Formats: sequence, C-alpha cells, structure tokens
Amino acid sequence: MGFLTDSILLGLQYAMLALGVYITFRVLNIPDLTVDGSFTFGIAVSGALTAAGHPVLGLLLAIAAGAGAGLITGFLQTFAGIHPIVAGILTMTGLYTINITVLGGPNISLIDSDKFFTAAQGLLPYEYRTVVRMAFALLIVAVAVLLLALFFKTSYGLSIRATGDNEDMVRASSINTTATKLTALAIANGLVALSGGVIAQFQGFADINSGSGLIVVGLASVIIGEVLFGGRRPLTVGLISAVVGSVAYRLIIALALQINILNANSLKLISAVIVGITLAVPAIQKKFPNLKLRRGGQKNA
Amino acid sequence: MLEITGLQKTFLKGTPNEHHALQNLSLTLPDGQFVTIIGSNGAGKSTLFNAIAGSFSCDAGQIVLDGRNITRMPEYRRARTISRIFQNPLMGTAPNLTIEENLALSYARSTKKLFSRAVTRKDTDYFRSLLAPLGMGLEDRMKTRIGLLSGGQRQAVTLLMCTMVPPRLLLLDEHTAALDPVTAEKILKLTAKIVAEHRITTMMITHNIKDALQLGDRTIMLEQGRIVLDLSGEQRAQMDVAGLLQLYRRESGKELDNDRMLLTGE
Ligand SMILES: Nc1ncnc2c1ncn2[C@@H]1O[C@H](COP(=O)(O)OP(=O)(O)OP(=O)(O)O)[C@@H](O)[C@H]1O
Ligand SMILES: [Mg+2]
Repeated sequence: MGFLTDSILLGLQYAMLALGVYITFRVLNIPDLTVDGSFTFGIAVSGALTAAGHPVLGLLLAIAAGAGAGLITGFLQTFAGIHPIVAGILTMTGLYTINITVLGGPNISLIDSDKFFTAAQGLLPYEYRTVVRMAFALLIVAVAVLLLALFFKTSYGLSIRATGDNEDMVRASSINTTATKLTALAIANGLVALSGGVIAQFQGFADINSGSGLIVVGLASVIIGEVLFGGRRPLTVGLISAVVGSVAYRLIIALALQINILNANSLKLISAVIVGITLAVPAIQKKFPNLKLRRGGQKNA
Repeated sequence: MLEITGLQKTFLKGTPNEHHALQNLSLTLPDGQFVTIIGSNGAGKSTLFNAIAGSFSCDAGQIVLDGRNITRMPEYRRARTISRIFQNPLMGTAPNLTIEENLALSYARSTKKLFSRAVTRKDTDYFRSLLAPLGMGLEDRMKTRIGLLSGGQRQAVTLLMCTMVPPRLLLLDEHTAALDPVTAEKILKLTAKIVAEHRITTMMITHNIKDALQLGDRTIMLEQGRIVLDLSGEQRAQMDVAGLLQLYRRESGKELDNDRMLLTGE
C-alpha cells in the first residue's frame, strides 16, 4: 500500500506542473518549453531559501521566479517575434546558469533544514507524517485549482482563453493580446516553479537536473487526464482533469515498476511514446475515419 | 464623423510586384451615415478597411475619427471605437467559448472591470433579450460552444457582439457573402435594423449592386485604390443596376469588366 500513497503524494506535487502545462498547451494553445527551466528555477529558489531558514518565503519566491521566467519567454514571443518553441528553449537554456548560481552548486541537501510543513509535523505523532504531507499537498493543489477556476471566469481570464481560441477576434475586441499571452505564460510558469519548489522541500534535496524532460511529463498528465474525463472539457473540469491525470501518471508508473514491466531508466522513453501516440490520434483519425478511437480525439479532430 | 485624407498604401514596395492598393484616397463620413462600397476584385476595398481598422500602417495620409487622429494608433486600441465583421463567419467568434462567454467578451470592453465575474446572472438575462429577436432559438443555448453553430448563426452572434456596445464606426466586409441567400437576407435585415436603431456610422462592402443601392444612404465605387463613383441623395434614389453600369461607362470610358458584380447585381 505504501507505493499507492507515495504515488498519490508525488502526483499531487507534480499537479501544479500539469496545471501550468494545461494553461499554455490547452488554454493558450502555445507549446511552451520554458517548463524544464522554470521547474528547476522553482527548485533552486525554494532550495536555497529553505537552506537559509525561510521555507515559506522560498515557495512564494519560487512562484515569482517562475512567473518571471514565463514573462521572459512571453517577451521573446511577442515583442521579439521569436517562434514560441525557440523562445521557450532560449529561456530554459539560459535558466540553467541562473539556477546553478542560485543553488550555489549542482545540488544541496535540505534534510536538516526546516521545511514549510515541519512545524505542523512536529505537532503530531510521527505516524502522522505522511498524513500531514498529504494534507499540505492537497491544500496547495486545491487552492491553486480554485484560484485558477475563479480567475478564468473573470473578464480578463475570459480574454486569455479567447486569445488561445481566436486571437484576431480578441484583438478586434480591443484587448491587448500581448498582455494576455504574457499573463498566461507568467501564471503557467509560476505554477510549474511552485511544483518544483514544493517537491524540493518534500524530498529534502534540491537538484539542478530534476527538470529535464518534464514538459513531456506535464503533457502526459494533461492527456491522461483528458482520456479519463472523456475528452476535452470545459475549463474548470479541464483543470481538475489535469490534476487527476498527474496522479494517474504516477500511479501507472509505480504500478509498472512494481510488477517489473519496466525499470526506472525506461520511464522517459515510455512517457514520450505515450504522449506521441496520443497527440497523433486526431491526425490518424482523419486519415482513417472508420477507425474507432477514444472520444477526446474525435472532438478535436 | 470619419475623415480620411490622402491615404496611400503600397504593397511590396520596391519589388517587381509593387502594388498601389490605395492611391491618395480621401473620404468623409458624417455621423450616422451608412455607406455601401462596391468595386471589382482587388479594387482595394478590404485594404481600405484594414487601413481604417489599423491592421497595418499607411505610407501617407491621415485618418481622423470623431476629431481624434488615429492614424498611428495600434489596432487593438482602435477597436474600442471601431467594430469590424468579415466574410468568414469563423473569424468573429471564439469557437471553444460558449455563446454567453463570447457575448460577455464584447460586453466587457466598455462596461466591466477586468477582474470581476465575466458572466453574471444579470448579463445572461440581457444577452437572452438580445438573442431572442433573431428568431434562431439561440437564447435557449447560452451554454453551447459557438463552434457548434452554423455559419449564419455565428455571423448573427458576431453582429450582436460588434454592436451591443455601439461602436463609433462599423465596418462590414462582405459579411453575408458566405451565407445561403435566405440567411444572408436575414442578416442584412438585422444589420439595417441595428444600424438604424443606434444610428451607427457604417461602411459595408458588397458585391451585390442591388443591395448596395437599396441599403444605407450613400454608395461609393472603388477602382484601383481610388473612389471612382460617389452617389447619394436624389441621384442614388433614381439609380438602378443598369443605370449604374451606364454611369460607370460614361465616367471612365470603359466597360465594367467585373463578372462578379454583374452576376450578383441583377
Ligand atoms: N498584405 C498584402 N500584401 C500584398 N498585396 C496585398 C496585400 N493585401 C492586399 N493586397 C493587394 O491589394 C489589392 C487590393 O486588395 P483588397 O483585398 O483590398 O481587394 P478587395 O477590393 O477587397 O477585393 P475583393 O472584392 O476580392 O475582396 C489586391 O491586388 C491585393 O492583391
Ligand atoms: Mg475584400
């Protein structure tokens, strides 16, 4: 049973990553590769501040750091007119240097430092330590989903969603689409960095290489969530499906490892293959209209 | 009031394909005037709209709307006072947002604060009262994604979105050309009604000469980026399709070689 709670806990920590990817990939309709860099940025900021004795401040500044990274990518995409994929790669690459500087080395241990949940854990007997962690992870995810759901129902949130849907029309309704894109990228990467920041403190160490390939993990979570929820759904359901997808992704992997279908080294390849196949579904369906595949693909074909 | 003076736009300047799309074009529209615009393919009609709406900046000339020089204003800021509808019904609405969300997006542009709830119960009731007169049953489908509607339904919603906060200038670029004749007729009627109701200054491009002469109170014809005919008042009231072709022949000394205009003009 241990691996079950462990996977759920891990899935909840990565849920903010999935939410961030959902916002850029599904709401804004822009592939954003900043993710690998902003996740590690969150780890670095949260790790450095936790080591210095400020774990909560570490989480808050991680969000700000990620948002800043998102703004840079947005700036490159809009003002500098660079292709979104290249813009993301540039930010991600540049961040590597910054991250290693912030962290002061490739990795640091936080085992002996106070984390944001340490005080709460101290109040309860040792057996409750997982419960405390789970409660905190759930709380953070729930607050994030709630705030996002409310935000995307405001006028400004609506214009961000419309920007990903029909940018010309949004500009024609006197909304500055540069601003909506920058906002969405800042929010998305702030969430991704928060994910990194939380994970660093939960696992008790901060490592500069933890972010590599995470864009695929984020995409896989979003897609698995959509499969479980029967396709692309209205935004609030979509946010929840991304969270569920993130947990499901961790469960699937833990199960596969448990029954020895794959070893830890093959995870990335498997994830990439799964994401690749799922993204190809609409195109495959167009070629072979009689093929019966999952509903989600058809809706968006 | 719209005042355009000496507008120039050259595409692909300095290349063998250089094209003078707008040539020293001047035009003044008093408040509340409804002008229809005709002209053959490539005459520069859409280019004129692009210039007014700010899709690109012009090489020379000046555009003044209500006394404010908007020649250098970015497109999204002009959109606060200028609304525009295109031929393609897919362009005016966001397909994955619901009917009420699309309407809310337009409604928000002058009435709402950025971070307040976009669609309140009161808004929904208001949107319903706007949709009901269309007779398309859309008022009962407020939570339907716009992408699921037909072209005519989408264009009707677009028209509402563009006029629910009445703009200072409404640009209609063949906005019924992609619809079947019955729906097109319906949308045109709706257009005339809304424009008259709010006395919106309007420019409408059409290839249907009969519509051009019937709707609105002034008709201009564009050719190679210039205004070659400008009809209003008594002269326009007397004019029919045959008369217009004759006038054109007399003024320019050549036949109107446009197929599309002749075909749709009878
Ligand atoms: N962005 C552009 N780059 C180069 N040439 C352009 C561009 N936009 C328009 N043109 C050219 O300018 C001319 C006028 O085009 P415009 O779209 O204004 O014609 P129109 O009067 O609207 O015609 P139609 O009735 O076919 O819609 C055409 O010759 C067109 O090829
Ligand atoms: Mg045109």
